[in-house]
Amino acid sequence: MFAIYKKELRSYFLNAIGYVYVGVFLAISALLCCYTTIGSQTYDTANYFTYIIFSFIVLIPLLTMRLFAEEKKLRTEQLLLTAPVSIWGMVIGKFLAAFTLFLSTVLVSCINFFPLYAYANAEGLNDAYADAVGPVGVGIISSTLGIICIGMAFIAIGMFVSSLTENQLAAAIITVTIIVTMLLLNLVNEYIENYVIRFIIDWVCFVSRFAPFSAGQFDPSALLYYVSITGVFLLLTVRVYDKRRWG
Amino acid sequence: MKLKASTGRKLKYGGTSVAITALIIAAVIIFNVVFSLLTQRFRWYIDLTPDLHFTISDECYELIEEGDAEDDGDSPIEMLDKFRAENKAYNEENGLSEGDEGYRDEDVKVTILFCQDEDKLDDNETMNYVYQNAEELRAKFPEYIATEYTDSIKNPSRFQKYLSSNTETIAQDSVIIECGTEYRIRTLRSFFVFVNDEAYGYNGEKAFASSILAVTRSEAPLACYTINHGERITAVDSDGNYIYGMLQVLEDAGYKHMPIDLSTQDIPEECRILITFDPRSDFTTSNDGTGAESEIDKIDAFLEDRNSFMVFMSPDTFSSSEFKELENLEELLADWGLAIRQQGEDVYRVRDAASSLLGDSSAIVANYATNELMIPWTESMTANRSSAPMVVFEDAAAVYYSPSYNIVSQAAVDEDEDGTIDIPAYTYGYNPGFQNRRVFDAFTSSSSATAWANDREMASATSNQPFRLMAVSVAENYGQELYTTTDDSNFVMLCGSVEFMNTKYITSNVYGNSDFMLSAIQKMGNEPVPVGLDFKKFANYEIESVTNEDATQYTIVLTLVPVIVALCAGVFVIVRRKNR
Repeated sequence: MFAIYKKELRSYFLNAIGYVYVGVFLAISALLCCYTTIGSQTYDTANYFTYIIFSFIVLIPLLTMRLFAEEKKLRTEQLLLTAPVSIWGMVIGKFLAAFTLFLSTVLVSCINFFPLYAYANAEGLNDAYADAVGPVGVGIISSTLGIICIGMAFIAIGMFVSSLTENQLAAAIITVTIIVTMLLLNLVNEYIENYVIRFIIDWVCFVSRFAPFSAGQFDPSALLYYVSITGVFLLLTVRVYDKRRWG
Repeated sequence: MKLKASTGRKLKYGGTSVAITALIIAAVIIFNVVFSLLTQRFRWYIDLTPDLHFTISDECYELIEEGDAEDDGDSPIEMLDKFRAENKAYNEENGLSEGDEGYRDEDVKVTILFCQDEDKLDDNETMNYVYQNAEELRAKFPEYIATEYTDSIKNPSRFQKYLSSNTETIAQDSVIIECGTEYRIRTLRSFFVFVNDEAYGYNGEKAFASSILAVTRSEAPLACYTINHGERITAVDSDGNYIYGMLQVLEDAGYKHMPIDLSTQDIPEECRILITFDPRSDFTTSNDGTGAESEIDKIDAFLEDRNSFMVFMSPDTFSSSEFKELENLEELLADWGLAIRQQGEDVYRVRDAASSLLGDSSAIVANYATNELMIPWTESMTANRSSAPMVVFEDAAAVYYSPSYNIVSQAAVDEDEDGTIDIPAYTYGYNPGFQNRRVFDAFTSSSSATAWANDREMASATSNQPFRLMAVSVAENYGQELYTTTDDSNFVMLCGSVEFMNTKYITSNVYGNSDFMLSAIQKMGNEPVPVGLDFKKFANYEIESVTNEDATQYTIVLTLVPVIVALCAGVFVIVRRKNR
């Protein structure tokens, strides 16, 4: 598994895709952070975290579209299937490689909060700004954890889709469609009269589950949901390859 | 023994595999659903807001569970237990069981009823605070407090009983707190504190606590305010918002309120407090020859029934060229030792440049009176603060004791004889004709205040004789019931400033105007109100020192630098790899 993890992680940086992903993610996160915080003259980061989730629509498929689709296209998946590694090991190795790149980029993007703390420090020392509270550190940490879990779930979904097709573009498009659906599902609630159906949709929709984080409330059931989605799609990916190996 | 290949294949990719996968996914879904429900039921959330807006304080829980330490009455929980016991005894006595006509609910609870479906509440940022607090209360007292979510548009019949007895329509963002036949309807706005029409803080704890206290009382407290004398209690500004916070303070105190035209209506029996707010014309007396019971007679009878009366006046009350005096009302006040003017003089406007807000000598920061009546009224205002909050009287008139009352000087009191003065020396008014009536200062000016009339300075305050800004007259009615002594005192309060109740003072936590009024209502109406629960100010997230140039610079640097570094690294690695 570790060998597959290393190979996959290295492959991101042996061609342009890793650098493009890192560059685009950091640029988008910096733009969004500056627009929603310093540009709007507020320390409140709720809008930033909500908007960054929507950037995953484009960024996550970039990471996941080639994970299995390329292996199929290049006919190297037979090597993987006959390698002395379990299917779970193979899937998790690839998943962890994508997740490592995603996680490290998210953590690096946290430098965008430094100017907020610099201003908070400066204003804190100035009696004229005694009223300001600065950025809420605990809120930033919990929201960051939330978007990491959402990203993790989307990577698992993207990886599953990639395992179903050998065409990277098709994998990307289908992943985008699924992510958009999972994010914007609650928009239909406005037209639904039945409370039970609306409740189910809200329960499934990623943005609805993230809303408490934006409001300043840590919801452990939302984190469990994202982790569960990750686990389910990893399981489905393993099942797809199990069928291929033994079929 | 080796597994047969066919069995292994079935397990790996056959129907068995699909079934196992489906089972696992179903188990994950069920686990998630159960965990979500448990999280919601037991409130396994963590409040990350700076001022814990989603969290109910221990003081509030204590108030609901154990009651107010200053009030001898039962707490809401104790009252609910009493109601249940009474209902159970009634049902047993009458042989009634559930479903029978006349059966009384033996599991009576306080219900917090929202007028929308539950899923729509957390979509709305402001409603979400109220929703979360209601769920916190329900989780803390699951056997005594229930929450209910019903769309008032889809299910109007559920709300019929509130509409038939309430002249206002119930907005979908209203919250109804109900217990048995008692209920209070709270607008969304009443859960927040506003400054300049912007939400300044969240006041949900106090709103819920006062409503729960109110609906679990055995009788409904009512306050009436007089109309048809030019009163301005319901005056609104150009945006349609109330200028004065009198009605909001009454709602915060858990009171119902209603207007009353004393010329045509009688004061309801359940009314505890009558308020006259800035009357511009006089009240009728029996001397007016109408034959019917006069307005003053009704107020007299109301006071004789041991109820209380609040009067708000200011120099501007008498600014009309037609009404320089409110003779009948002033005569009633004089019976209670209160006067808005010295005999034969104009109403004096008090100014105090040395003790006022921001140099505006008409917005006076008053001194708290320290006499035996007022100390209990104001001590709860300082319970959780390092110093007493400012109480502001804007455009105030000087208040006097009426000439029929004798001034009595009371020496300082050391109650426990430990050498520490517990109650400083003070003066009060004493009526030789009504032996149980005394009048006390509530708030006074500083010794640097001056009194003005017709743009001329008429008098100056001294340290021994500051100007009174508010005074309270009490009729002490001690009774004896079996082996306990009851205090059934009633009060008449005269406030020399109408602007004392301006929303800019009432809705601000900086000033003590609202806290004092809540305490006054508690004492005057014998109602428990949650004076000690503070609102939670919304955090100010504004970055005040950032400029557009700074924002642009940061945007450029943070956007371009990481991109350039990433791209350069990529180019370097790829070119190097190609050249190997």
